[in-house]
Amino acid sequence: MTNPRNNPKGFWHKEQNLTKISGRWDITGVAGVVDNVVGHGFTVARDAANAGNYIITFTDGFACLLQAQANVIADSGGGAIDLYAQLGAFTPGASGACTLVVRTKAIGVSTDPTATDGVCFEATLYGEDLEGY
Amino acid sequence: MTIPKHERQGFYHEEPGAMKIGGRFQINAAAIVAATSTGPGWAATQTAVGDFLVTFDTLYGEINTASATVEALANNLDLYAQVGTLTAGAAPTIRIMTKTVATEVTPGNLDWVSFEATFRHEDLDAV
Repeated sequence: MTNPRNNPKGFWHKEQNLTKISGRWDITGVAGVVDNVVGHGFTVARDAANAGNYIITFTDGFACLLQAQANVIADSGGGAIDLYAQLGAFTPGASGACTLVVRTKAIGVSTDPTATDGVCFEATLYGEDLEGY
Repeated sequence: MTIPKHERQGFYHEEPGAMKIGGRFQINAAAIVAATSTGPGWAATQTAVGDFLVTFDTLYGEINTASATVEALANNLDLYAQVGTLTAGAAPTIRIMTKTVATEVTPGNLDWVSFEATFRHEDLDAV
């Protein structure tokens, strides 16, 4: 026998006060040049020194990354390209200083996506810096 | 001084009563198994080279979806995560494999594996 809890819609989570930030960016022209950023709560820039390395900077500050996922949106070459996404370092920090690196890789080499490709990600964070409000 | 936001907790979704559980575990080369982790409600063990089993501590009748990503310290490292068998039940499990090309390879020391799974049909007797 169970008793329905009459919960509101949504995902219950064992951690409280989580923040989920998701988004994507497209490459429309030169490989590695970020265009069409979709989503809120972050900015993204390609690491000038490392091809295929994209630094997501969260607008708010967070103390911990609970989990994150990233995927390549592969459309160039009719989809027949060898490219996958991998996470790099997460750096906790205050507003504008909390970052997560997403890499796009061809086999073992970090490689920029080309035109018509993109990257999407989703990150679950906690320990939000409430001073920013 | 901080002011709690008192916002409603959770992620909205069209499915009522769905549960999302995510986390990440870090590889400890000395211990071989995952030694450090973030997030409650699960535990990870290493069953073979590049092969991990995440076991959840609540009964769920259905696993909707699961995904996993490698978080590597080194830049030019060919390693990705792949989800294997998803098993719902009293102690649901998801299999996560970390691979180089098609061969299972354990991530390096202090690398992480990050995952997220969505469940339905939680056993309310256990709540």
